[in-house]
Amino acid sequence: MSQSIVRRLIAKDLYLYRWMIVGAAVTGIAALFVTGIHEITGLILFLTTIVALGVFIAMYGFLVERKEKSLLFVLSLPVSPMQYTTAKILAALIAFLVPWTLLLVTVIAVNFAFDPPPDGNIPFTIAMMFLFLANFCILIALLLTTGSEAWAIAGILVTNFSVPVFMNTVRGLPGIGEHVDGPVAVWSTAILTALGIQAAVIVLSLGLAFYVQSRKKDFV
Amino acid sequence: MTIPAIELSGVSKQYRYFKLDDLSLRLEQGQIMGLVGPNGAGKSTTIRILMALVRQDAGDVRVLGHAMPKDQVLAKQDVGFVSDDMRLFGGATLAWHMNFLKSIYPCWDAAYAKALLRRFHLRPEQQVKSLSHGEHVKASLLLVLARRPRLLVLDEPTSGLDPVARHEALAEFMEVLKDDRRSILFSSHNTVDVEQISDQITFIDRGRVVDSNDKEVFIDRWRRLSLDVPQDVELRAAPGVTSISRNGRTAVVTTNAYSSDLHAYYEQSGASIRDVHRMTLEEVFVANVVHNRKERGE
Repeated sequence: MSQSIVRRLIAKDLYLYRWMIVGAAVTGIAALFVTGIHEITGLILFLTTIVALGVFIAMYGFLVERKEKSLLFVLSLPVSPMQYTTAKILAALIAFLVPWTLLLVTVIAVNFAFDPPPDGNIPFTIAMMFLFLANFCILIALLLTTGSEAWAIAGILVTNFSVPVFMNTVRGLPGIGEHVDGPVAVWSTAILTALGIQAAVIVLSLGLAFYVQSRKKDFV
Repeated sequence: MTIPAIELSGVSKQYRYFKLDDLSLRLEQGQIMGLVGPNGAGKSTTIRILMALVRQDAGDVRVLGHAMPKDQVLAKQDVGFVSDDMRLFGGATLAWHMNFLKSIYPCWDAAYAKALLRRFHLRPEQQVKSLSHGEHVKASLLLVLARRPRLLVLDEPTSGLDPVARHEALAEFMEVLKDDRRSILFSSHNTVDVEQISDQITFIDRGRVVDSNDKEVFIDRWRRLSLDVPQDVELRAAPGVTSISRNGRTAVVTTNAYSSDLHAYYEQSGASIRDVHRMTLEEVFVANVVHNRKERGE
Protein backbone atom coordinates (compact mmCIF):
# COMPACT_ATOMS: atom_id res chain seq x y z
CA MET A 1 0.00 0.00 0.00
CA SER A 2 2.71 2.50 1.03
CA GLN A 3 4.64 2.33 -2.25
CA SER A 4 1.48 2.23 -4.26
CA ILE A 5 0.02 5.34 -2.60
CA VAL A 6 3.27 7.24 -3.28
CA ARG A 7 3.14 6.11 -6.91
CA ARG A 8 -0.48 7.22 -7.23
CA LEU A 9 0.25 10.61 -5.68
CA ILE A 10 3.15 11.07 -8.12
CA ALA A 11 0.88 10.10 -11.03
CA LYS A 12 -1.72 12.55 -9.75
CA ASP A 13 0.79 15.41 -9.67
CA LEU A 14 2.20 14.56 -13.10
CA TYR A 15 -1.32 14.62 -14.51
CA LEU A 16 -1.84 18.08 -13.00
CA TYR A 17 1.57 19.26 -14.29
CA ARG A 18 1.13 17.74 -17.77
CA TRP A 19 0.60 20.98 -19.68
CA MET A 20 3.58 22.64 -17.97
CA ILE A 21 5.83 19.73 -18.95
CA VAL A 22 4.66 19.72 -22.56
CA GLY A 23 4.67 23.53 -22.78
CA ALA A 24 8.21 23.84 -21.42
CA ALA A 25 9.55 21.11 -23.72
CA VAL A 26 7.95 22.63 -26.83
CA THR A 27 8.87 26.24 -26.00
CA GLY A 28 12.42 25.27 -24.97
CA ILE A 29 13.08 23.40 -28.22
CA ALA A 30 11.49 26.23 -30.23
CA ALA A 31 13.78 28.67 -28.39
CA LEU A 32 16.84 26.65 -29.46
CA PHE A 33 15.76 26.93 -33.08
CA VAL A 34 15.20 30.66 -32.63
CA THR A 35 18.85 30.99 -31.53
CA GLY A 36 19.75 30.01 -35.10
CA ILE A 37 17.82 33.05 -36.36
CA HIS A 38 18.41 35.53 -33.56
CA GLU A 39 20.81 34.25 -30.90
CA ILE A 40 19.97 36.64 -28.04
CA THR A 41 16.18 36.29 -28.46
CA GLY A 42 16.47 32.50 -28.55
CA LEU A 43 18.76 32.42 -25.54
CA ILE A 44 16.49 34.65 -23.47
CA LEU A 45 13.45 32.58 -24.46
CA PHE A 46 15.30 29.38 -23.54
CA LEU A 47 16.40 30.69 -20.12
CA THR A 48 12.92 32.10 -19.43
CA THR A 49 11.33 28.75 -20.27
CA ILE A 50 13.44 26.80 -17.79
CA VAL A 51 13.07 29.39 -15.04
CA ALA A 52 9.29 29.61 -15.63
CA LEU A 53 8.95 25.81 -15.58
CA GLY A 54 10.58 25.64 -12.14
CA VAL A 55 8.54 28.53 -10.78
CA PHE A 56 5.23 27.18 -12.15
CA ILE A 57 5.76 23.67 -10.79
CA ALA A 58 6.77 24.99 -7.36
CA MET A 59 3.95 27.53 -7.16
CA TYR A 60 1.21 25.32 -8.58
CA GLY A 61 2.23 22.06 -6.94
CA PHE A 62 3.12 23.36 -3.51
CA LEU A 63 1.72 26.81 -2.81
CA VAL A 64 -1.57 26.66 -4.74
CA GLU A 65 -2.34 23.20 -3.34
CA ARG A 66 -2.04 24.63 0.17
CA LYS A 67 -3.79 27.92 -0.59
CA GLU A 68 -6.73 26.34 -2.38
CA LYS A 69 -7.09 23.74 0.40
CA SER A 70 -6.69 20.71 -1.85
CA LEU A 71 -3.85 19.77 0.52
CA LEU A 72 -6.58 18.89 3.02
CA PHE A 73 -8.04 16.48 0.47
CA VAL A 74 -4.67 14.79 -0.19
CA LEU A 75 -3.76 14.48 3.50
CA SER A 76 -7.13 12.91 4.27
CA LEU A 77 -6.09 9.95 2.10
CA PRO A 78 -4.29 6.99 3.69
CA VAL A 79 -0.91 8.68 3.45
CA SER A 80 1.64 9.68 6.07
CA PRO A 81 3.28 13.11 6.00
CA MET A 82 6.58 11.54 4.90
CA GLN A 83 4.91 9.62 2.08
CA TYR A 84 3.26 12.86 1.00
CA THR A 85 6.64 14.65 1.12
CA THR A 86 8.32 11.89 -0.89
CA ALA A 87 5.58 11.91 -3.51
CA LYS A 88 5.57 15.70 -3.80
CA ILE A 89 9.34 15.95 -4.23
CA LEU A 90 9.61 13.02 -6.65
CA ALA A 91 6.71 14.26 -8.79
CA ALA A 92 8.15 17.78 -8.94
CA LEU A 93 11.60 16.41 -9.85
CA ILE A 94 10.19 14.21 -12.60
CA ALA A 95 8.07 17.07 -13.97
CA PHE A 96 11.13 19.31 -14.05
CA LEU A 97 13.71 16.74 -15.14
CA VAL A 98 11.78 15.44 -18.17
CA PRO A 99 11.86 18.76 -20.12
CA TRP A 100 15.19 19.67 -18.49
CA THR A 101 16.85 16.48 -19.80
CA LEU A 102 15.19 16.84 -23.20
CA LEU A 103 16.43 20.42 -23.50
CA LEU A 104 19.94 19.55 -22.30
CA VAL A 105 20.20 16.74 -24.85
CA THR A 106 18.83 19.06 -27.55
CA VAL A 107 21.34 21.80 -26.67
CA ILE A 108 24.21 19.33 -26.99
CA ALA A 109 22.75 17.90 -30.20
CA VAL A 110 22.39 21.41 -31.68
CA ASN A 111 26.06 21.93 -30.83
CA PHE A 112 26.96 19.16 -33.24
CA ALA A 113 25.15 20.98 -36.05
CA PHE A 114 28.05 23.39 -36.17
CA ASP A 115 31.17 22.53 -38.11
CA PRO A 116 33.47 22.20 -36.26
CA PRO A 117 31.30 21.80 -33.13
CA PRO A 118 32.17 24.42 -30.47
CA ASP A 119 32.48 21.73 -27.76
CA GLY A 120 34.21 24.17 -25.38
CA ASN A 121 30.86 25.55 -24.19
CA ILE A 122 29.42 22.12 -23.23
CA PRO A 123 30.80 22.03 -19.63
CA PHE A 124 29.54 25.56 -18.91
CA THR A 125 26.15 24.81 -20.52
CA ILE A 126 25.80 21.72 -18.34
CA ALA A 127 26.79 23.76 -15.27
CA MET A 128 24.14 26.35 -16.22
CA MET A 129 21.52 23.62 -16.53
CA PHE A 130 22.54 22.26 -13.12
CA LEU A 131 22.15 25.77 -11.71
CA PHE A 132 18.52 25.74 -12.84
CA LEU A 133 18.05 22.31 -11.26
CA ALA A 134 19.64 23.45 -7.99
CA ASN A 135 17.48 26.59 -7.96
CA PHE A 136 14.41 24.47 -8.54
CA CYS A 137 15.31 22.18 -5.63
CA ILE A 138 15.83 25.18 -3.33
CA LEU A 139 12.46 26.58 -4.37
CA ILE A 140 10.47 23.36 -3.84
CA ALA A 141 12.20 22.73 -0.49
CA LEU A 142 11.32 26.26 0.60
CA LEU A 143 7.68 26.04 -0.49
CA LEU A 144 7.16 22.54 0.88
CA THR A 145 8.46 23.45 4.32
CA THR A 146 7.11 26.99 4.68
CA GLY A 147 4.02 27.03 2.46
CA SER A 148 4.39 30.77 2.54
CA GLU A 149 3.77 33.21 -0.28
CA ALA A 150 6.35 35.65 1.12
CA TRP A 151 9.02 32.94 1.17
CA ALA A 152 8.01 31.91 -2.34
CA ILE A 153 8.57 35.44 -3.66
CA ALA A 154 11.87 35.74 -1.78
CA GLY A 155 12.98 32.34 -3.11
CA ILE A 156 12.05 33.20 -6.69
CA LEU A 157 13.89 36.54 -6.50
CA VAL A 158 17.06 35.07 -5.00
CA THR A 159 17.22 32.05 -7.34
CA ASN A 160 16.52 34.22 -10.41
CA PHE A 161 19.16 36.70 -9.34
CA SER A 162 21.67 33.85 -9.12
CA VAL A 163 21.38 33.24 -12.90
CA PRO A 164 23.09 36.46 -14.16
CA VAL A 165 25.51 36.30 -11.21
CA PHE A 166 26.49 32.75 -12.22
CA MET A 167 26.75 33.68 -15.90
CA ASN A 168 28.97 36.67 -15.19
CA THR A 169 31.20 35.33 -12.42
CA VAL A 170 31.58 31.60 -13.02
CA ARG A 171 31.99 32.08 -16.77
CA GLY A 172 34.96 34.34 -16.08
CA LEU A 173 36.69 32.02 -13.63
CA PRO A 174 40.14 30.66 -14.59
CA GLY A 175 39.74 27.13 -15.88
CA ILE A 176 36.29 27.94 -17.33
CA GLY A 177 36.36 31.27 -19.20
CA GLU A 178 39.30 30.46 -21.45
CA HIS A 179 37.71 27.21 -22.71
CA VAL A 180 34.10 28.35 -23.28
CA ASP A 181 34.65 29.53 -26.84
CA GLY A 182 37.17 26.81 -27.64
CA PRO A 183 36.66 23.73 -29.82
CA VAL A 184 37.28 21.16 -27.04
CA ALA A 185 35.29 20.47 -23.91
CA VAL A 186 37.60 20.89 -20.91
CA TRP A 187 36.46 19.49 -17.56
CA SER A 188 38.67 21.68 -15.41
CA THR A 189 38.80 21.60 -11.60
CA ALA A 190 36.86 24.89 -11.59
CA ILE A 191 33.95 23.49 -13.60
CA LEU A 192 33.93 20.25 -11.60
CA THR A 193 33.93 22.29 -8.37
CA ALA A 194 30.98 24.34 -9.63
CA LEU A 195 29.10 21.13 -10.49
CA GLY A 196 30.03 19.63 -7.09
CA ILE A 197 28.70 22.69 -5.25
CA GLN A 198 25.47 22.50 -7.23
CA ALA A 199 25.09 18.80 -6.46
CA ALA A 200 25.67 19.56 -2.77
CA VAL A 201 23.03 22.33 -2.86
CA ILE A 202 20.55 19.89 -4.44
CA VAL A 203 21.20 17.17 -1.85
CA LEU A 204 21.23 19.63 1.05
CA SER A 205 18.01 21.46 0.11
CA LEU A 206 16.07 18.23 -0.47
CA GLY A 207 17.56 16.63 2.66
CA LEU A 208 16.57 19.68 4.71
CA ALA A 209 13.06 19.55 3.27
CA PHE A 210 12.68 15.94 4.44
CA TYR A 211 14.17 16.76 7.84
CA VAL A 212 11.89 19.77 8.46
CA GLN A 213 8.83 17.81 7.30
CA SER A 214 9.70 14.94 9.66
CA ARG A 215 9.81 17.40 12.60
CA LYS A 216 6.58 19.17 11.72
CA LYS A 217 3.56 18.75 13.99
CA ASP A 218 0.93 20.55 11.95
CA PHE A 219 0.37 20.06 8.23
CA VAL A 220 -2.56 22.39 7.53
CA MET B 1 -16.85 -5.17 23.64
CA THR B 2 -16.37 -3.42 20.29
CA ILE B 3 -13.64 -0.90 19.62
CA PRO B 4 -15.00 2.65 19.68
CA ALA B 5 -14.97 4.53 16.39
CA ILE B 6 -13.33 7.50 18.09
CA GLU B 7 -11.66 7.82 21.46
CA LEU B 8 -9.91 10.96 22.65
CA SER B 9 -8.65 11.26 26.18
CA GLY B 10 -6.98 14.25 27.78
CA VAL B 11 -6.17 15.83 24.44
CA SER B 12 -4.59 19.28 24.51
CA LYS B 13 -3.30 21.55 21.80
CA GLN B 14 -1.90 25.00 22.42
CA TYR B 15 -1.90 27.76 19.83
CA ARG B 16 -0.95 31.36 20.37
CA TYR B 17 -4.50 32.57 20.92
CA PHE B 18 -6.38 29.33 21.50
CA LYS B 19 -6.07 26.21 23.59
CA LEU B 20 -7.83 22.91 23.24
CA ASP B 21 -7.90 21.86 26.85
CA ASP B 22 -8.00 18.30 28.18
CA LEU B 23 -10.58 17.15 25.66
CA SER B 24 -12.10 13.69 26.01
CA LEU B 25 -14.63 12.14 23.65
CA ARG B 26 -15.90 8.69 22.80
CA LEU B 27 -18.01 7.68 19.83
CA GLU B 28 -19.22 4.10 19.66
CA GLN B 29 -19.50 2.29 16.35
CA GLY B 30 -22.86 2.67 14.63
CA GLN B 31 -23.53 6.06 16.22
CA ILE B 32 -23.71 9.62 14.92
CA MET B 33 -22.18 12.24 17.14
CA GLY B 34 -22.90 15.91 16.55
CA LEU B 35 -20.07 18.14 17.64
CA VAL B 36 -21.66 21.50 18.28
CA GLY B 37 -19.94 24.72 19.16
CA PRO B 38 -19.75 28.38 18.28
CA ASN B 39 -17.16 29.66 15.81
CA GLY B 40 -13.67 29.22 17.20
CA ALA B 41 -14.79 26.67 19.82
CA GLY B 42 -12.26 24.06 18.73
CA LYS B 43 -14.41 21.80 16.52
CA SER B 44 -12.11 21.98 13.52
CA THR B 45 -8.97 21.61 15.66
CA THR B 46 -10.47 18.49 17.25
CA ILE B 47 -11.28 17.06 13.84
CA ARG B 48 -7.85 17.93 12.46
CA ILE B 49 -6.24 16.12 15.38
CA LEU B 50 -8.48 13.11 14.68
CA MET B 51 -7.37 13.15 11.04
CA ALA B 52 -3.67 13.58 12.05
CA LEU B 53 -3.53 16.85 10.12
CA VAL B 54 -2.47 18.45 13.37
CA ARG B 55 -0.57 16.67 16.16
CA GLN B 56 -1.84 16.98 19.73
CA ASP B 57 0.56 18.31 22.39
CA ALA B 58 -0.76 15.82 24.96
CA GLY B 59 -3.32 13.06 25.28
CA ASP B 60 -4.29 9.91 23.41
CA VAL B 61 -6.24 9.75 20.19
CA ARG B 62 -7.53 6.50 18.73
CA VAL B 63 -9.50 6.22 15.52
CA LEU B 64 -11.08 2.81 14.84
CA GLY B 65 -8.62 1.42 17.37
CA HIS B 66 -5.54 2.94 15.70
CA ALA B 67 -3.31 5.33 17.64
CA MET B 68 -3.09 8.74 15.97
CA PRO B 69 -1.01 10.14 14.44
CA LYS B 70 1.29 7.08 14.59
CA ASP B 71 -1.00 4.66 12.74
CA GLN B 72 -2.72 7.26 10.59
CA VAL B 73 -2.22 5.39 7.31
CA LEU B 74 -4.12 2.36 8.63
CA ALA B 75 -6.82 4.47 10.26
CA LYS B 76 -7.39 6.70 7.24
CA GLN B 77 -8.06 3.69 5.01
CA ASP B 78 -11.41 3.41 6.76
CA VAL B 79 -12.16 7.08 7.34
CA GLY B 80 -13.91 9.46 4.97
CA PHE B 81 -13.27 13.12 5.66
CA VAL B 82 -15.14 16.13 4.29
CA SER B 83 -14.65 19.67 5.44
CA ASP B 84 -16.35 22.81 4.17
CA ASP B 85 -12.95 24.37 3.47
CA MET B 86 -11.53 21.31 1.71
CA ARG B 87 -11.19 21.65 -2.05
CA LEU B 88 -10.76 19.11 -4.82
CA PHE B 89 -8.36 19.79 -7.69
CA GLY B 90 -9.91 22.56 -9.78
CA GLY B 91 -8.12 21.59 -13.00
CA ALA B 92 -9.40 18.00 -12.97
CA THR B 93 -12.86 16.58 -13.59
CA LEU B 94 -15.03 14.77 -11.09
CA ALA B 95 -14.53 11.58 -13.13
CA TRP B 96 -10.76 11.96 -12.71
CA HIS B 97 -11.20 12.31 -8.94
CA MET B 98 -13.42 9.22 -8.91
CA ASN B 99 -10.82 7.19 -10.81
CA PHE B 100 -8.05 8.50 -8.57
CA LEU B 101 -9.86 7.35 -5.41
CA LYS B 102 -10.91 4.09 -7.04
CA SER B 103 -7.20 3.35 -7.58
CA ILE B 104 -6.47 3.99 -3.88
CA TYR B 105 -9.46 2.33 -2.19
CA PRO B 106 -10.12 -1.28 -3.21
CA CYS B 107 -13.57 -1.07 -1.61
CA TRP B 108 -14.71 1.71 -4.00
CA ASP B 109 -18.34 1.01 -4.87
CA ALA B 110 -18.75 2.06 -8.51
CA ALA B 111 -22.49 1.31 -8.59
CA TYR B 112 -23.10 3.42 -5.50
CA ALA B 113 -20.94 6.22 -6.96
CA LYS B 114 -23.09 6.13 -10.09
CA ALA B 115 -26.26 6.26 -8.03
CA LEU B 116 -24.91 9.22 -6.06
CA LEU B 117 -24.04 11.04 -9.28
CA ARG B 118 -27.70 10.78 -10.29
CA ARG B 119 -29.03 11.63 -6.84
CA PHE B 120 -26.79 14.69 -6.49
CA HIS B 121 -27.28 15.76 -10.14
CA LEU B 122 -23.54 15.82 -10.79
CA ARG B 123 -21.84 15.37 -14.16
CA PRO B 124 -18.60 13.37 -14.00
CA GLU B 125 -17.12 15.13 -17.02
CA GLN B 126 -17.46 18.53 -15.37
CA GLN B 127 -14.27 20.25 -14.24
CA VAL B 128 -14.21 20.84 -10.50
CA LYS B 129 -13.44 24.54 -10.91
CA SER B 130 -16.77 25.01 -12.71
CA LEU B 131 -18.81 23.47 -9.87
CA SER B 132 -20.91 25.70 -7.61
CA HIS B 133 -20.20 25.57 -3.87
CA GLY B 134 -23.13 23.23 -3.30
CA GLU B 135 -22.05 20.96 -6.16
CA HIS B 136 -18.51 20.95 -4.82
CA VAL B 137 -19.70 19.82 -1.38
CA LYS B 138 -21.87 17.13 -2.96
CA ALA B 139 -18.93 15.98 -5.11
CA SER B 140 -16.75 15.72 -1.99
CA LEU B 141 -19.48 13.74 -0.23
CA LEU B 142 -19.81 11.41 -3.21
CA LEU B 143 -16.07 10.77 -3.17
CA VAL B 144 -16.09 9.72 0.48
CA LEU B 145 -19.42 7.90 0.53
CA ALA B 146 -18.56 5.69 -2.46
CA ARG B 147 -15.54 4.39 -0.50
CA ARG B 148 -17.99 3.09 2.11
CA PRO B 149 -15.74 4.11 5.01
CA ARG B 150 -16.42 2.76 8.50
CA LEU B 151 -16.13 6.27 9.91
CA LEU B 152 -17.22 9.55 8.35
CA VAL B 153 -15.67 12.68 9.79
CA LEU B 154 -17.58 15.71 8.57
CA ASP B 155 -16.50 19.22 9.46
CA GLU B 156 -19.38 21.63 8.76
CA PRO B 157 -20.34 19.60 5.66
CA THR B 158 -23.68 21.29 5.11
CA SER B 159 -22.36 24.83 5.48
CA GLY B 160 -23.38 26.96 2.50
CA LEU B 161 -25.76 24.35 1.07
CA ASP B 162 -29.28 25.33 0.05
CA PRO B 163 -32.12 23.58 1.96
CA VAL B 164 -32.68 20.98 -0.75
CA ALA B 165 -29.00 20.08 -1.00
CA ARG B 166 -28.80 19.92 2.80
CA HIS B 167 -31.74 17.57 2.89
CA GLU B 168 -30.10 15.34 0.24
CA ALA B 169 -26.83 15.27 2.16
CA LEU B 170 -28.47 14.49 5.50
CA ALA B 171 -30.57 11.74 3.90
CA GLU B 172 -27.37 10.18 2.59
CA PHE B 173 -25.80 10.24 6.07
CA MET B 174 -28.85 8.43 7.45
CA GLU B 175 -28.44 5.88 4.66
CA VAL B 176 -24.85 5.29 5.77
CA LEU B 177 -26.01 4.31 9.23
CA LYS B 178 -28.17 1.47 7.97
CA ASP B 179 -24.94 -0.48 8.37
CA ASP B 180 -24.57 -0.55 12.14
CA ARG B 181 -20.76 -0.78 12.06
CA ARG B 182 -20.47 2.62 10.47
CA SER B 183 -20.24 5.84 12.45
CA ILE B 184 -20.31 9.57 11.80
CA LEU B 185 -18.75 12.49 13.62
CA PHE B 186 -20.55 15.55 12.41
CA SER B 187 -19.38 19.02 13.38
CA SER B 188 -21.64 21.98 12.88
CA HIS B 189 -22.94 25.16 14.36
CA ASN B 190 -26.24 24.44 12.64
CA THR B 191 -28.11 22.75 15.49
CA VAL B 192 -31.11 21.95 13.25
CA ASP B 193 -29.00 19.55 11.15
CA VAL B 194 -27.36 18.05 14.21
CA GLU B 195 -30.69 17.57 15.99
CA GLN B 196 -32.09 15.88 12.92
CA ILE B 197 -29.49 13.15 12.57
CA SER B 198 -27.41 12.75 15.74
CA ASP B 199 -27.69 10.09 18.41
CA GLN B 200 -25.15 11.74 20.63
CA ILE B 201 -24.30 15.39 21.04
CA THR B 202 -21.17 17.02 22.38
CA PHE B 203 -21.14 20.73 23.07
CA ILE B 204 -17.75 22.35 22.82
CA ASP B 205 -16.87 25.91 23.76
CA ARG B 206 -13.57 27.77 24.05
CA GLY B 207 -11.56 24.58 23.66
CA ARG B 208 -13.41 22.55 26.29
CA VAL B 209 -16.16 19.96 26.22
CA VAL B 210 -19.10 21.62 27.94
CA ASP B 211 -21.43 18.63 27.89
CA SER B 212 -21.75 15.33 26.07
CA ASN B 213 -24.70 12.99 26.10
CA ASP B 214 -27.40 11.23 24.11
CA LYS B 215 -29.62 13.66 22.21
CA GLU B 216 -32.73 12.35 24.01
CA VAL B 217 -31.12 12.97 27.39
CA PHE B 218 -30.51 16.62 26.46
CA ILE B 219 -34.05 17.04 25.18
CA ASP B 220 -35.53 15.35 28.28
CA ARG B 221 -33.36 17.08 30.87
CA TRP B 222 -33.50 20.65 29.65
CA ARG B 223 -36.72 22.66 30.20
CA ARG B 224 -37.74 26.25 30.46
CA LEU B 225 -40.42 27.01 33.05
CA SER B 226 -42.52 30.20 33.09
CA LEU B 227 -43.54 31.05 36.65
CA ASP B 228 -45.94 33.51 38.17
CA VAL B 229 -44.21 34.80 41.30
CA PRO B 230 -45.76 37.15 43.88
CA GLN B 231 -43.77 40.39 44.25
CA ASP B 232 -42.73 39.59 47.85
CA VAL B 233 -41.41 36.11 47.03
CA GLU B 234 -37.71 35.75 46.40
CA LEU B 235 -36.99 33.03 43.89
CA ARG B 236 -34.07 30.73 44.67
CA ALA B 237 -32.32 28.41 42.22
CA ALA B 238 -33.30 24.79 42.74
CA PRO B 239 -30.65 22.11 42.08
CA GLY B 240 -30.07 21.87 38.33
CA VAL B 241 -31.34 25.36 37.58
CA THR B 242 -28.90 27.07 35.25
CA SER B 243 -30.54 30.49 35.03
CA ILE B 244 -33.40 32.55 36.38
CA SER B 245 -34.59 35.73 34.76
CA ARG B 246 -37.32 37.78 36.38
CA ASN B 247 -39.45 40.65 35.19
CA GLY B 248 -42.00 41.75 37.77
CA ARG B 249 -44.28 38.80 38.55
CA THR B 250 -43.00 36.74 35.66
CA ALA B 251 -39.93 34.57 36.00
CA VAL B 252 -38.29 32.22 33.52
CA VAL B 253 -36.32 29.33 34.97
CA THR B 254 -34.02 27.20 32.85
CA THR B 255 -32.98 23.80 34.15
CA ASN B 256 -30.77 20.97 32.97
CA ALA B 257 -32.25 18.49 35.44
CA TYR B 258 -35.97 18.68 34.88
CA SER B 259 -38.29 16.55 37.03
CA SER B 260 -41.64 16.93 38.69
CA ASP B 261 -39.76 17.75 41.93
CA LEU B 262 -38.98 21.13 40.38
CA HIS B 263 -42.71 21.93 40.22
CA ALA B 264 -43.08 21.06 43.90
CA TYR B 265 -40.00 23.11 44.83
CA TYR B 266 -41.27 26.33 43.24
CA GLU B 267 -44.90 25.82 44.24
CA GLN B 268 -43.78 25.42 47.86
CA SER B 269 -41.90 28.70 47.59
CA GLY B 270 -45.15 30.46 46.59
CA ALA B 271 -44.78 30.57 42.80
CA SER B 272 -47.17 28.97 40.37
CA ILE B 273 -46.08 27.21 37.20
CA ARG B 274 -47.61 28.90 34.17
CA ASP B 275 -45.97 26.88 31.43
CA VAL B 276 -43.23 24.30 30.79
CA HIS B 277 -41.39 24.48 27.43
CA ARG B 278 -39.36 21.73 25.85
CA MET B 279 -36.24 23.42 24.50
CA THR B 280 -34.89 23.08 21.00
CA LEU B 281 -31.32 21.85 20.66
CA GLU B 282 -30.26 25.38 19.78
CA GLU B 283 -31.79 26.70 23.00
CA VAL B 284 -30.16 23.88 24.97
CA PHE B 285 -26.82 24.66 23.34
CA VAL B 286 -26.96 28.39 24.06
CA ALA B 287 -28.17 27.87 27.65
CA ASN B 288 -25.48 25.24 28.22
CA VAL B 289 -22.66 27.40 26.90
CA VAL B 290 -23.79 30.50 28.78
CA HIS B 291 -24.17 28.50 32.02
CA ASN B 292 -20.73 26.97 31.68
CA ARG B 293 -19.05 30.26 30.89
CA LYS B 294 -20.73 31.76 34.00
CA GLU B 295 -19.60 28.83 36.17
CA ARG B 296 -16.02 29.26 34.97
CA GLY B 297 -16.23 32.99 35.59
CA GLU B 298 -15.60 33.88 31.94
